[in-house]
Amino acid sequence: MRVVLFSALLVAVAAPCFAEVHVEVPTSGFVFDAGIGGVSSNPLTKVTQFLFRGHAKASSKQLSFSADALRGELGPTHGSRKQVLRHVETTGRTTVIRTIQHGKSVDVTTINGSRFTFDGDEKIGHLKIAGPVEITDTGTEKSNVRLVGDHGIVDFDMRKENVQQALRKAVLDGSVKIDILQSGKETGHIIATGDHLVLDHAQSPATIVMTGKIKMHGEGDSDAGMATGITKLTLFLNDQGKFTHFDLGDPFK
Amino acid sequence: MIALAIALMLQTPEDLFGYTSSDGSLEISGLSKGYEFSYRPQGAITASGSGSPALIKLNSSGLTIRANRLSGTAEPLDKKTYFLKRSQTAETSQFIMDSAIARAFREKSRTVAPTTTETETNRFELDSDRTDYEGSANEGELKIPSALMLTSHGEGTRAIQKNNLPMTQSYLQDLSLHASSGRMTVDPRPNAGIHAIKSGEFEGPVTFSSIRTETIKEEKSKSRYTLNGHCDRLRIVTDATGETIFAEGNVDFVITDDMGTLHLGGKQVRFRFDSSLEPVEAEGLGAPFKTTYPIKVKQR
Repeated sequence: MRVVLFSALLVAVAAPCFAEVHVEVPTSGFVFDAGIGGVSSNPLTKVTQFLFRGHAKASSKQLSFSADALRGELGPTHGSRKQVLRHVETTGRTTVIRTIQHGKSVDVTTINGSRFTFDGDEKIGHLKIAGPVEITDTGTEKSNVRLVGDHGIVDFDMRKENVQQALRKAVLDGSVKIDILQSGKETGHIIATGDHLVLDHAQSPATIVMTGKIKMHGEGDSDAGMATGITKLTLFLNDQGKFTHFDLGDPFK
Repeated sequence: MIALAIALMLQTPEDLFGYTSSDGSLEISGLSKGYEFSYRPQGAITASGSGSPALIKLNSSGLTIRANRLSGTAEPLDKKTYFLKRSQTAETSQFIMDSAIARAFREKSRTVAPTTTETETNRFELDSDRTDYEGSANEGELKIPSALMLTSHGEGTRAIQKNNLPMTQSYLQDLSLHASSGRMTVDPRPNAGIHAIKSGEFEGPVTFSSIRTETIKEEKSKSRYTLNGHCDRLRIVTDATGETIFAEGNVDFVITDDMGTLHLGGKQVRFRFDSSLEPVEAEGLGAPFKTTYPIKVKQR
């Protein structure tokens, strides 16, 4: 079943008899695909609510959500007829992909986990992940940074232009892990495990700070060694999100 | 204060910071809370902090720095192996160069094959309150601004030529030096052997003691030589053919070997040793001299 939603009037779609639903909301740039579900739009508030179940997917050029079920709303932007994704709740295994085009190359950030709650506007998106979470930032070439935790929060840069890094901030707790590829290395990874980590692209230089009872070692052709008894690890990243160096303990001034 | 002492007592080795480079050539260990460590790929590693004690070990060169407070920077010699660029220590400092550690590392990392022909080992240990080191892969300067004790032990077996005959000489050499302060240039390379101290200047009062025992297998001979004394200042200079020790101010030295005893005293005494660190010449200024000695002795 295919429905193209023009935002003039309230339109409700429910298709329990069909195996697939496909809904486009052109004012937001989002497309919805699922086994079952639909959208409803209020012309007065210009808010579109949606609920999809069964391999549900909401996707635009920059952002996509995939989960067992998606519930949320698209809302108006300031001074524009366009809508932005304001709220999403997911159930079951969830994947969020944020994509940025840098000329011919693409920077893809993938977040896997369960039970996501997203709140955002045209500038920033705030994601809460209640279940185990894995964040993979592919960088412009290959898998660059991989962060794992039991639960956490992630802030995205939701702007469509002049975005260097989609991932502005991530805070993960529980049994956390960092797997970061060293620049210029084919297989040189730095692996660290700990209790808490914060990725911060909002400051310069960008950092990933891990605290707790930390163990760290280099793998593959990395020249990083093995460290134990660490309570604080600070990994420094350049503007492209690539690893430059790390400090243990309190960073050198 | 008591809580801090209890916390330190309860600290297990697992709680202490430790870092081992990917090839094991650099080890940093024993740093407790308040440490700092910085790593740059293909670049310097810097560490500082306190411990009971804290250690930096450059296994590839056999260098160990141990102190209650230390900081150090190691730079890459090649892709993975590091050398000590600089270090500062305070509170019960030790600066050790041990050729056996370097050899064990090289054999373990298979840069040299295990062999029985290289049997010389040398260990230098400097104990002081504070040390300050800066150097390259081939040479470093160690400044010791406080009272120091330098001890050295060397032993080994080497092939020599005596009376145009090949012979096997075994030796044991121990040296100790106490001074109020000093500075040394050292060769941190693992093959420096007994010539790891290239030069040194020590301020007094300086006490110096050296014992060397040699045996020659083919002759079944054994000889022993000792040098003991004190002075106000002592300077060691090494060149290609041996080593010279200049002792200045209130010099009083006694040299004893199987052939006799020599007392040397005065304002200035110079000792010359060959490349095996056997004494070959002594020169004094402002004697008196006593007894005779088979090596060349000058008096001005």
